[in-house]
Formats: sequence, structure tokens, C-alpha cells
Amino acid sequence: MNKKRLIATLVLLNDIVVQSIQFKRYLPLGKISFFLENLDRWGVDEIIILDINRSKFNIEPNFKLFEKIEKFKLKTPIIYGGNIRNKQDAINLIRYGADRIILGRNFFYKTSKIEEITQALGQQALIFSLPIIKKKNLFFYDHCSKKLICLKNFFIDKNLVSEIFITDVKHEGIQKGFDSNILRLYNQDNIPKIIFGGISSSYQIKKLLNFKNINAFAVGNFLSYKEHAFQNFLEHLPRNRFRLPTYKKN
Amino acid sequence: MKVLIVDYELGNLASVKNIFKSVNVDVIVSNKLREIKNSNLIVLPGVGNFSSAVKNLKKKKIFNFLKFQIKKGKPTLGICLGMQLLFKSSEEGEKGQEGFGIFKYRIKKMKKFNIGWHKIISKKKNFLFKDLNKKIFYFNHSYGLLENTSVSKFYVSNHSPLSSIVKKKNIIGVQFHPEKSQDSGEEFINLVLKTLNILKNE
Repeated sequence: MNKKRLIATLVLLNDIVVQSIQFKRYLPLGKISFFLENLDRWGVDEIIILDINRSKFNIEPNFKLFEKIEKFKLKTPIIYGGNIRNKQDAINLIRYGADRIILGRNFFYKTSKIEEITQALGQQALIFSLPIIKKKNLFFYDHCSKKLICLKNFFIDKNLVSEIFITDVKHEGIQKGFDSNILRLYNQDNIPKIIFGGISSSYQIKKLLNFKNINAFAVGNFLSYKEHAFQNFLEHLPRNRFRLPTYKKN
Repeated sequence: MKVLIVDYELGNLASVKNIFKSVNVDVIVSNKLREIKNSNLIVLPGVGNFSSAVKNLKKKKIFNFLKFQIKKGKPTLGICLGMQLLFKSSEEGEKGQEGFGIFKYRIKKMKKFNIGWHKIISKKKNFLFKDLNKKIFYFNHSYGLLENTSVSKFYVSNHSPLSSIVKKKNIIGVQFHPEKSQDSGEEFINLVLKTLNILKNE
């Protein structure tokens, strides 16, 4: 059995890392270089950068960010999401320093458009993002138009991407934990999931461990606020289900 | 001493370049024949689809030259897809696109993706990379060498017989990403440079 991954997630707004609350309110935290260097040193399994206003203002992905962070020689896999529009954007991001990419709303309305990216980069590099709001049913939250689209009949071809990044929008930035009812209601089980939104403790992760097909847990600011936060998370998670920390506390 | 990372438009070039910079070697990214010829180590990076990669190498008119150089004995390191390109063929992508054929085996589709961190396990106790035994590396792939072969030197823990390191003379292929494997990755790159005598003339 593959070990679960514990992923640090940085929400980026205008090149500044922010604390995002339900993708509505944002509190600035600081320069991304500071967070990347720390997370890389602490040995997190992967780092996700969610560049959230790129699609809102239809700006190209943040290629310059990768030029800036190149000098830090990061040795942790970087996953980037931020208005990836087509195959060329995807190829360029990998070329400049992303290891995997998250495809968002640009592909939600026509997932078949992903195929040409899969053909170029392979499925393993691609993750599909589903920001979800749970009411009686599950809804895709289009953060640009603010529309909610029912996910009842939404399926993505399992040959297009390797994982689905599910965000619990209502709990994002709040300490209450990811709503497990989303996992109960979400009806596509043939693509592994990364789950994100509200996870603030290892206890909350433990409660989700037995849900089917979850490959990874993405944690936002709760992993980057404090020195050793990552190690503290890992210490309270089952040793046989997660990679041991590589960074030792002093 | 010069390390050359082959640019065929599908690699994670910046990340691979960084790991070599970290160990203080001279590294360039290029697809020019003269630079390939003059390099001390060819690195085939890889994030991509096998047949697209072969097509790109051919489009850039470097496929046959690289094949010749590698077969002639030029030290070579293939990473992930770059490792798979060293094989005869792959089930990934369009049919009919053959790899360099240095290793006479076929890369096959795995039942599940292998994304995450794994220990690698040495096949023989005294293999020259023995220090890497049980070290943990980052993997991200859905195709691999799924059979026990004479070139397989390390397996992936709990995924045997999936190969993690293959080697034949001066040619090394790794299924994992050393450039994204934190300290283990840097240790691996240092070992490769020593093993292939790349640092000898420094």
C-alpha cells in the first residue's frame, strides 16, 4: 500500500501568501520565498501553490514566480494551480519548475480539453481541481462567476488525470475540519483524491483515513504558521500510513 | 566537467538543473549536437508521455545522435520518463515509437499510479550504490519496468519487481525523481557523479 502524503498548501494572491477564509476573505501572511524555504527544509511530501486570482482576472499562469524561486533550489515536489489554459501553459510550467499541475475551471466545462495535455505530459503530472460546496447535493463552486453547478452527473474520464483535488470551500481556512459528508456524497471513486479545506489537526486526518481512495491530505496555513508544525502533525499520525519526518527538531 | 540536460521540450528542466547546481557541477540545458558531444554526462529528464518524447527528440533531429552517443559509451542518466526512453519500447502513447533500445525490455502500464515516497531496495548486497539501500525517494509515474531483469539493480519497496534503478555500464536509469527527493536525491546525484568518474578531472 502506498503511504498517504501530507501536502503543504500555499494560497497566493498577487504574489503574497495569504490566509484564505472560504475563498472570500484574505489575510496577508508574507513572501512566498519564506514559506517555500521552510517547507522544503521541513521535508513536507509536496507543496501546492494555489495562485487564486489568475483565473479571476484571466492572467496567464505565474511563470515569473518560478524564475524567482529557482534560486532557492527547492528539493520538494511543487504542484501549481493558477489559470492553466492550454497545453503550452502546462508544458511551460513543468519546464520552469513545477512538477505537477492542477487544472481548474478552464477545463470543468469541457474536460475533454484535458486530453491533449495528458498526451504531452502524461496523466501522472495532472490533477483536476473540484472546489465543492455541500448543500443537499454537492456543487462545483465557480469562483469567477460565483455560480454553483450540481455535480450529480459530473464525471471526469479516469484516463485524463491522476488525482482529483477536492476543496471543501465552506471549511477552507476554518479549523473545523474537512466535511466528511462530501466524501460520502461524491460519487466518482475511480480517481484517487487529494482533499483540502479546514484540516487543522492530525486528529481530523485520522478520522478521514478510512475513506476510500484518498491519496493525500493537503493542509493550508496550519502547516506553515509554526516551526515544526509538519513534524507535530506527523508525530500524531500512524507511522505505517505516512512517511517519517526527515527533519529533526533541535 | 560538463553535465548536459537534454532539452526536448517535455522535461522539468529547471528542477533537474537545480539539483546539479546544488552539488556544484557545471550544468547546461541544450539540444545542440556539439554540446551533447562535448558533455561528460548526458541527462535525460522526464515529465511526459513516452511517444510524445520520442517524437520531440526526432523533430529536433537529436534522437539518432543521442542513441549513437549513448551506445558508444557516453555516461548517461535517465530520470523517470528519461529512464524509460532508454528502453526498447513502451505501452504509453502511440504505437510504433521506439526508445533508444539500450535496455532490451518493454515499459508497461501499471495497474495504479505510483505517486509518493518509497524506499528502494537493493537487489544485490554489494552493488555499488549499496549506500542507497532503504533510502526514500519521490516517485510519480504510471508506467514502469515491471519485470525482473539483469539490468534491474534496485526495486521499489512493496512494489517488487518494479525497478527503481537500472544500470548497464555507464548508463543509469532511475524511475524516481532525485531532483525532488530532498536529501536522498542529492546523495544519489553525488554517487552517480562519483560512480561514472565524472568528478575525476575536477
